Amino acid sequence: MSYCVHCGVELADSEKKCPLCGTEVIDPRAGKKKDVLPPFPPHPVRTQQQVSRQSLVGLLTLIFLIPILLCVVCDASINHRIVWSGYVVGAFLQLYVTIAVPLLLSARPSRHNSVLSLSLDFLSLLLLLKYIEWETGGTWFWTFALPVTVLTAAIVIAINLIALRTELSRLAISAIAVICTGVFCLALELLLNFAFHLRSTIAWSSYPLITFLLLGAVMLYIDRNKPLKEKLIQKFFL
Amino acid sequence: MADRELRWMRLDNAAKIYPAAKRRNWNNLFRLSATLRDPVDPLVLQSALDVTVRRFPSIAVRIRRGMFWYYLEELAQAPKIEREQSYPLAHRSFSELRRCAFRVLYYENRIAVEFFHALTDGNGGLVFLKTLTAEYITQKYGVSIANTDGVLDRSEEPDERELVDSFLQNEGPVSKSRREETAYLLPGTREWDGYLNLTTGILDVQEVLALAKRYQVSLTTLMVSVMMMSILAIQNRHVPNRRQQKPVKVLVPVNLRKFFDSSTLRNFVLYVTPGIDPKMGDYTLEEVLKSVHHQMGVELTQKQMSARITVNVRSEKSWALKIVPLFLKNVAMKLVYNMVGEKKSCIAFSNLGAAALPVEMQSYVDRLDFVLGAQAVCPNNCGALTYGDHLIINFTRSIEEPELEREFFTRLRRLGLSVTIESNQR
Repeated sequence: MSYCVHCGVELADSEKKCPLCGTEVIDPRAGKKKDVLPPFPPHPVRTQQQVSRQSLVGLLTLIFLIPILLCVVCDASINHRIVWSGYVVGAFLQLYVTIAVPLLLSARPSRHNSVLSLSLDFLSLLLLLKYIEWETGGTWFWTFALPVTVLTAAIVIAINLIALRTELSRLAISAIAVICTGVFCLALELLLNFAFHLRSTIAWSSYPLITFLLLGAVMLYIDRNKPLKEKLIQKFFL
Repeated sequence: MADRELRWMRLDNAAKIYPAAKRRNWNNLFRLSATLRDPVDPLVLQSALDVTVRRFPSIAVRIRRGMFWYYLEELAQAPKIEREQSYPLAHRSFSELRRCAFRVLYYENRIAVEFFHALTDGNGGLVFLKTLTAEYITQKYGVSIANTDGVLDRSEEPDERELVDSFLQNEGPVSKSRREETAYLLPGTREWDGYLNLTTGILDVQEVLALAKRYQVSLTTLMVSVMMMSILAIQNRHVPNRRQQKPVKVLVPVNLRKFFDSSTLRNFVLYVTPGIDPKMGDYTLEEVLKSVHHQMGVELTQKQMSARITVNVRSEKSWALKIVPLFLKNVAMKLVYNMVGEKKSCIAFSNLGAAALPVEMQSYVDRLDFVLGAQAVCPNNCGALTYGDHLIINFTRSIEEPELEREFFTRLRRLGLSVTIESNQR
């Protein structure tokens, strides 16, 4: 016979802790208690089962196979060769890489995961673009699509790395992203001019360049000036 | 046996809501159990059940679906008894209820019967449990037990008076509005796997009666008032702003057999919901006791009960309702149940009162328990009965936190009552 020191109620011999407050039953005088049968049989230990990432990816794979196979069969049976379904397959594969790779990687957390999955995304995008060029008989891959994609990848991965590996504030990171966008516009016009022989000077890209550079500068300036930042938050919070 | 025609019965007036109110993971069940001196012999228990069910054609039934109403159909043979699980009143799906609407369980020294509420109420269930236990003891020990104190003669044919719907017979001249104020809903974290926590408090009934006498109230009034004080304290903790607090109300089932001449074994129970409004200020126990005592006094009269029966019976008798197909009725009744059903009280406190057994049985039965299932939304429920020297209060809860139980039992301790606690905590 023991009492709960917290609730003051007597506890049945089957209770190892107080059912009302969870305080453990410690009775220094009671010798070794023989085990008393609890009022109900023990509860079988059950835990909520976690769905493994692999099984999710497996499910995704099977679901993706439905439209892919349907398109290929439909295309092949009508045209007796692959005409349009190649693009569908390519687009679905791109989507698959974008979703499935991060899912698979998240099973093993590592600091390289995001860089790895982003690189794979851009790599598969390059393959898709190369396929489209080949299928449509274009000549734009090496001179235009490749440099633009690589540049975009470089910017996205760089910002991702800065966000993950440095202590910069969100405002500073956004400022860098804005500045990069400005530079990207300039590079885009230069590449367009070079690849498609448009003109020898820069025309439109100076406008976004100036805007984005100055906007980025404003953001960095605010970020450096703590009282100003506080005041602006105070005035414009949502 | 094969050429015997199986009886069928309409659901009684109170039972009609239960099959309609069902949820995917919830049904309205309650349980009665007898703890014996010795371990239960499953073979003897099965044989006792086989004999007992024939006497109870309104309890040994399954639920069936008609075009316009559900109905009860007598079982051709008794169900198999089962071994107890780790918690009482484990969910029974509706398809199980359509095979058999009650079950008999055993564990160590205990025989338990779990009923779907559409079959009978606590009093009818207790008669079934007593009779089953008497038959078991007779078969096991060869004792002859007098058919008194709610033990029925198994060799008799069922008495038609036990099978009637007493609500229909006791309709009054006027009906009373069912309108009530919405009560406070106790908070908590729901058990993810449907586990039902049972916390039993065992009290010395003489001590409790002495205390109730000192306050000049009944045992039920005393317990209901302490329950209200506990819920008030919980609401004060969770809703500190008094203006946002809701009335604290306790649903107290009332055995109508005491008011009307009836010996039915089917549902014949209504309820009163005494309550207090915390917006008006802080209450002392004495104030709550006085208020509950008088509220019960006003409500618990034959005329009030008759008017409340009338309103329920009239809605059942309405032709506009009768001719609606069952699936539409279910939708409507479920809506009403969800909007009204459980919102009018915080918890039920169902006291079956003093359970007597024939003298020959008493030395074989150590304890009787009455357990109410948790409701669909309200997380706590409470059933009580007195057997021998003990008042046994069974709290069930579908949430993790034993907040109400702790408030309630520590309050009883502070009133000077000795409380022994037992549970099925994990």
